[in-house]
Amino acid sequence: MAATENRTVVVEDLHVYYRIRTKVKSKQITAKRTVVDKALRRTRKAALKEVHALKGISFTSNQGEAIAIIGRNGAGKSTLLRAISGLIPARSGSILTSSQPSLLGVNAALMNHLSGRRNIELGGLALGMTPAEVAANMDAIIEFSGIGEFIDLPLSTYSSGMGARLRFAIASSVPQEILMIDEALATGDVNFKKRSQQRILELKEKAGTVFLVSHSHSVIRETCTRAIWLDKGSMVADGPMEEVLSAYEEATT
Amino acid sequence: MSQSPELKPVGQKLGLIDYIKDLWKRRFFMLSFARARVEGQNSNAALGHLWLLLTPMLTAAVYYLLFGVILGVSRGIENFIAFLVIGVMMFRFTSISANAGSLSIISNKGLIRSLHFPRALLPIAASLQQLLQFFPSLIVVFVAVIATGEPIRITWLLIIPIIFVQFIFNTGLAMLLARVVNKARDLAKLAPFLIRMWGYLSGIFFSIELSKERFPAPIEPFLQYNPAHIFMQLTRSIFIESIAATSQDWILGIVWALVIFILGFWFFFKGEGKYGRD
Repeated sequence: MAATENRTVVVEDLHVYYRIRTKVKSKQITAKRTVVDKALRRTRKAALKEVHALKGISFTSNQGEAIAIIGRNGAGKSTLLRAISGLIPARSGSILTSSQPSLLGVNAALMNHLSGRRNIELGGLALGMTPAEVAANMDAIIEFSGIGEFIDLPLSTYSSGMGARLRFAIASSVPQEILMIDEALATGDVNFKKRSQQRILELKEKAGTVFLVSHSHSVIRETCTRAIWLDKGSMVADGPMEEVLSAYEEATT
Repeated sequence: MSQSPELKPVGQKLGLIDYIKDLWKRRFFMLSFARARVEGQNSNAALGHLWLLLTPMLTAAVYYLLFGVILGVSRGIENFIAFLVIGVMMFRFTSISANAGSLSIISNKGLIRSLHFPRALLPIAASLQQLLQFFPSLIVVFVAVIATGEPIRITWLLIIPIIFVQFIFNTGLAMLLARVVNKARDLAKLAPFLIRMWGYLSGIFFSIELSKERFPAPIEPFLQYNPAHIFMQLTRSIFIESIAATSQDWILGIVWALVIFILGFWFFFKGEGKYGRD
């Protein structure tokens, strides 16, 4: 009885490639060649290389689900999130969504030389808030991040845990219908972990659907209802969180 | 099972009008981003933001030493110091914006890959950053002009529209170069040389008007009507009494700015969706 009006994301046979510029030295280069030869050969070798990052992924997500994307490094987890949010084009297949998914990717907008407060402003604007919304949310974001008096010091003086807390606090302050979180919760103390898991649950209630990429199984266990296991760009399993996660744990240990 | 009606494909390209609207909605981010970049510019130098003033001063000093003192190309130019300083500053405004614009896509890949926004925001913000950083250079101009005894005139205020028009021109150029360099990375290395050549040909340190006989007749219009020369000449005309600009110069400057801006915006817009892909 999967009511179609509750669907938030429908992915069908998704293939994603991305290109990387490689500068791999050729094995044919031998000591006999001149410096010029080598230089020329290297230039030729600096070609584009294609990587087949996602190989035919299909799934449908519904409102009220929190879906963990699990798998080893390089399995295509982040690529999947970026493809769903439209930041990477699909080579073939289709992605349909009920609204613009947003990736909690505020990290890239923040600047080390700015204070925490200025970064909240910049990050909030980058996520599409108006200056008034930023001002209205400022205290709540600072409070949530637990940065305290460090908030007026440059980001470069923060510990990695403080930085991660600030990023999560900024990113999660904007309510979204389809939300994707990429490794935001790896750091932080126990206290912050609890608060951020609480925040994810709240977002799930408000948002409809939350996608979470995390290597922390405890975070996944406490927040997610479903899990998708990727390996080398292919889907290994998709099902209830506990089932998939246990199978993944067995396979990797 | 029928497709539910509200599901839409992601990552669809916006039409031109929606693109411009989206860009307008992001103006606060654009400004905040440009300002933050200015602040970060000199954060690891001991003298900090003083470099915003020192760099143009030293640049002007180098040019003066080379062309004014050693080569002595000042022949026939009244108030060579003001002439040179204005030439250096106004060209620097364009060249730095063009360089920053050309790198604006390839150096912000992280941002492009993690957030949705019209990518034209990046070259425009790069140009905006250079506009904000240009104001200390203006102080150098004022000092040079006053120190060389030019009378203070009400026409000095015309520097505001000149800077605005040149900023529009710079922004167009930044958008053009951003897409070109994104496609052909090696141009990022080549562009500074081409831009420098352009500057030298625009009459930073010599008067195109006074050295007409030195150039073959066919290339003279290219020197004279080139936008970099026009912006320099307009600025000189308001600060230096002995130099005049015609209304034709003003019109040319505005037309250049509009043409390059519209062309640059359209060209950049056509490449949307290709940025940050590799």
